[in-house]
Amino acid sequence: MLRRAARRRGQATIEFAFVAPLFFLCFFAAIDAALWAIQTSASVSAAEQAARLAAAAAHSPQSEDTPSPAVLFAAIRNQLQQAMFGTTVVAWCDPGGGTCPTPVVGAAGGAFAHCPTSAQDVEQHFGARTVAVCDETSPPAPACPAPPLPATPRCGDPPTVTVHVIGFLASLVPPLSGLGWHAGEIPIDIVATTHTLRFVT
Amino acid sequence: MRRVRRVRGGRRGMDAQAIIETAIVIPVLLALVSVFLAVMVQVEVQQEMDAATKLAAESFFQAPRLAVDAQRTTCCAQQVGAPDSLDTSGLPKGCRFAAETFYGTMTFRRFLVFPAQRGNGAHPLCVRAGTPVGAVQNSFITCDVQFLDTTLNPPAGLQVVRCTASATLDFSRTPLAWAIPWNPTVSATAEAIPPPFHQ
Repeated sequence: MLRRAARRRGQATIEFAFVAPLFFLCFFAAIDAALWAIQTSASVSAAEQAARLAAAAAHSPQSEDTPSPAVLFAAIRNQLQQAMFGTTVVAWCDPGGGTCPTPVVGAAGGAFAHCPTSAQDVEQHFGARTVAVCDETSPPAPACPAPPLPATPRCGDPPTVTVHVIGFLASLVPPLSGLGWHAGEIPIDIVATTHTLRFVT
Repeated sequence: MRRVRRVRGGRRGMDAQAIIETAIVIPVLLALVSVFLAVMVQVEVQQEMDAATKLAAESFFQAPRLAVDAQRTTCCAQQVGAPDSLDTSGLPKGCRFAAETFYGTMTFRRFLVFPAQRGNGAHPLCVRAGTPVGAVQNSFITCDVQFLDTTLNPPAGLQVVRCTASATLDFSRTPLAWAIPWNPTVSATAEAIPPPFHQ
């Protein structure tokens, strides 16, 4: 009788040892998924808002400049930061200081001359569990030839601007990347593209 | 002796029952988790598509009014690095602007199947008064220019663009394929009116 009872206790312990980690994994994964949904939703909304802002000129209606990442970040910071749990939100500007111009597609220069292409880029410069806001403009299209010459494709088009909300979100459960450097993080890469609105003087 | 045998047989039966229960419960649990993740992905795609469609409709009016794309104008590669797949020659520039905005914003393209790839039906980039303006393949956004409020804005009325987008989530390209045999379709509609100033 005693041996049978001890065996049952042992079996219950082993079952618990199997089930408990699985249960807690599912439990925290469910919380994580909900947090991810909230953070992603806020990021999509913020990127859309930032794209709308970036479509406008930076300084005056005749300006050719696009607002810098710092300006966009200031406009959507509250919206983003409130929805981020344990994640830092930054503008894609040199943390060492200096000016923060809008990157141009294909431009040469340092790390901040173009937007990050992966979440690892953000982590490298700003640390773990950080999301960066960045906008990038395309080079201007060539002017259209004067009539009677026919127009060339895309001539006179205003440049496009692309807003990135990119980085790693804090998470409770290690994602597929395992227990290494990226444990406790979920990558995010939200993009919004639109055409800039430019007035010709 | 007989009693002991019965007890041992009962324990063996309980062990087998536990194994069968585990064999049933674990796949069901994993399937539930997979369905949960798939729903999350679908919600995320829906949100991104709503944003992309809204921006696309607004972008339609970012183009200079009455401007038309020149010959040999193309846009919108289906994959990153691939050549452009849409011929927009002769279409209003706003149509291309809407398409470029939409495709540039939708970053879930690797999980999506464009409706045009599933059949031979053309998906027009723009339609006007119900008539397609140039049938273009491999696009899942259509923009229809309409005129509303003719009483308030005679004679033509207020110009409104309505963009509709749809796409199919192809889970067979993801690790969730074993538990999600179906491919849900996601769609979004957005309207925009012209801004007070035009470039």
